[in-house]
Amino acid sequence: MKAFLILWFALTLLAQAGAPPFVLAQWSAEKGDWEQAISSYSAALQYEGPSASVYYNLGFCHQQTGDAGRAVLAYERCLALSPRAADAQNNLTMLRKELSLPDAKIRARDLPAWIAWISRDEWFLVFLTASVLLVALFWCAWLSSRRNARFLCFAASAFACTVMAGSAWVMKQRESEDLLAVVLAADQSLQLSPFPTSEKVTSCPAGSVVSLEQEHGDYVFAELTPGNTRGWLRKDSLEKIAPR
Amino acid sequence: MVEIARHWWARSLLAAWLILSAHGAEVRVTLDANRIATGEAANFTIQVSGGRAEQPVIAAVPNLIVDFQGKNQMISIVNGVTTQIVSFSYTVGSQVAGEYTIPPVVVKVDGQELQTKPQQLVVFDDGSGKTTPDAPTEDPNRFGTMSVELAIPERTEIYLGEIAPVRIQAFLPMDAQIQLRSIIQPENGAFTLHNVSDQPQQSVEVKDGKQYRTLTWFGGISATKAGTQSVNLSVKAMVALPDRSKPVLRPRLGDPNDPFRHAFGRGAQVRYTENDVTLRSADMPLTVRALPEEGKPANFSGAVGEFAFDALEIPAQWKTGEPQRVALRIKGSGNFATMKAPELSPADLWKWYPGQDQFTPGDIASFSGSKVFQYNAIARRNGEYDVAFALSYFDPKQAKYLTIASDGKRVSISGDAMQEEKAPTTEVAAPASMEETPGLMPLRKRNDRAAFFAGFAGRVNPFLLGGIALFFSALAPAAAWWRRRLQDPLLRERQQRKKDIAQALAEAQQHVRAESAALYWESARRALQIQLAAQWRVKAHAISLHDVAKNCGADSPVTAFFREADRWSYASTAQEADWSRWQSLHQQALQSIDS
Repeated sequence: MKAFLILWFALTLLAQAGAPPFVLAQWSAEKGDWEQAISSYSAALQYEGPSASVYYNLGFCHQQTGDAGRAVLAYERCLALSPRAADAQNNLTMLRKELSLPDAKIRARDLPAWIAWISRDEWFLVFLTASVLLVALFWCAWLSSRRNARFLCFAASAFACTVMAGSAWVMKQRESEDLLAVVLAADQSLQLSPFPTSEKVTSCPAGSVVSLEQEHGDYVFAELTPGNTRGWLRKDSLEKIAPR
Repeated sequence: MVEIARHWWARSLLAAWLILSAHGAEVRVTLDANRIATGEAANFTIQVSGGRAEQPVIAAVPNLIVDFQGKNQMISIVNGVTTQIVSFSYTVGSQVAGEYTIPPVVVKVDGQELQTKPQQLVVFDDGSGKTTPDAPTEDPNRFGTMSVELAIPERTEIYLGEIAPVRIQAFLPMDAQIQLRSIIQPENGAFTLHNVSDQPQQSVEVKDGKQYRTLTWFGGISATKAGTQSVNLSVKAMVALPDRSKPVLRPRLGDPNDPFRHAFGRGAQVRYTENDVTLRSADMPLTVRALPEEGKPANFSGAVGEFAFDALEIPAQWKTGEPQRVALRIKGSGNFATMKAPELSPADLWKWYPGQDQFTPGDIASFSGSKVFQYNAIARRNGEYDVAFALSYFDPKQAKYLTIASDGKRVSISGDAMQEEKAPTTEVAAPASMEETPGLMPLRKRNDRAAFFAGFAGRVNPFLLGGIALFFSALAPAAAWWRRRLQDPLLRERQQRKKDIAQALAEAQQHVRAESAALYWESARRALQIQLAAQWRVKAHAISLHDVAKNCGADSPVTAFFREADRWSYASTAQEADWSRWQSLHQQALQSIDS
């Protein structure tokens, strides 16, 4: 019996040692061990790179532990990678409703909705494909001996050029998303000036989305999204949605 | 001794400074007019300099009105000496004509009491006749009244759960200053107020022959219990009314030629008394009827009113187990607050999660409008189905339940039928807290590929990439030009000709080195023939001495060369070779052709 237990323990350790962090995190989450799951999902992000699924599950785990700020951050990151993720959108909406936070339409603000439907990476792929097609079609057009083929190639390369310019414009417009951050600490004050003794403009509950502007010491000037309330927030109280 | 002297000097200086500072305090009074009309005000100022002064108290004089206006403080520094000046301003006057004496005023300055001189004021009757103050009225509605009425006044009954639109009005005195201290709330628990407009409409209305400033709100009431109930609403407010119990002074008209006479007038100095009051509406009896149990549909969620489907969005392609978003909009009038998201039918085909909803009011009381529902649904089985939304509500006008269905939509569902949730087979139980938070989408089981946030877009400048693409595109016309050039027949012929001439000249040089005269003449003549053939458009080997003489002239170097070549080619006996002359002749012939 003792030998069996030792063997079982050794096999379990071996299996866990060899399993990728995502699988380990799934095991912990299924057990309801949210803290362990969070740790394993964070390891998965570190070793396997950012992925929408890991961020979604991480958000779910943070939501279960009541860490609203980090839950919102993880869901926002999931949606940044995969904007059409209905489950993340659903959970984030519910979380915001629970926290009485406004539904922050942070992607592609002031632009048509379909622009936000495609992630920035996908827009870049569109741009890259259009660039390659432009070069290929232009070469075909110039080197082709048939008149009809040349016309078609020129027309297609003009289209590719338009797509390229359009996607470059979209990418430029969406560069502001790099400056979005989520307030992690609870009940942070948006201050009038970047000093500890400054007056409070309003309070920022955990999970609020802010758009960052200039920095000054330990503070950063931020605008609450949605809305136009602006003030200084402590840098260590927030984290950017798109990490560098 | 020196120590004693120093002490003596220091003590003397301190004592002198103390005496000077105490005696430096000064109090002055000014009265800007000694003669005023009844009801008018003169400005009385007490100015204290050189110390900290407390506000003085002016003794009461019968029929003399003294109003404190304010305190001004000023610090002046002259030649390094700091002086503090404090002014206390009053208005004095009377409604009764007579001669008045403002008594000496005692002012405490740094603990020392200083006294002012008495001031004389003559108040004469200007004949305006407004000397007696208005008698205060004890009107029970002097602070205002409140009323509530249904938007459809003929209605006397409503149903439980129904929101009946109401108009709430507060009638306030025209001369009152109002500050609302609470929201409008029901006085008893029989009714609940909904969607009361934030900003009331303001108007002036005449009620019972009296003019009122009227505030009007719109909202809805819903009953909490059946039976005959009274609607009572109240709102707390601070109503400031002019105090007519005390005489009021008016600013002096002063010198009619003074251009600032009106500009600096303080206006009517009306005293107001603030009153915290609760305005209550009169009872409005209303019969509340319970919703009938008979005919109540199973999916009735409490919506009371008149509703219709306005728009819907159901994806046509589904895959079992994968959530997709469905959306619909319902328009109408009634109690949207209790309306829950209509279910997708057939109900057993779908598993769905609560989503979000948004109400857009169509009127000021939010009684009519539209509500958009969005939620995620998962198809359980595959196949093709006609899908629609179904909504049940109670229509108070028809006094019955109605069930409406949206337009159907054909959907195609692929994939395997979903496994229904079973108890976990392993010892590890499903996380309890996941069930505690209904509506949350579950954890994802699979990891997907690593992605980028700003991705390449954040690291690579798209405009640089675009520039590279355009550069490579611009190379295409250059490539086309080069290709066309390579395929040009004239060019190719020219290149071949150059090649043949070069070959013929090389052979000629070889024959010079080998001292083979006949072969030299043949190669050298071929080089000339190739060049002439290109110019005359004839075959190179067909060019003879006759053709050369005819085209180039009998004395040309080319003809001389051809003549010499023929002589050597067809000579029967060997002759002495003169290589340098021959090569010179060949060069002359070539140059002659080129020129």
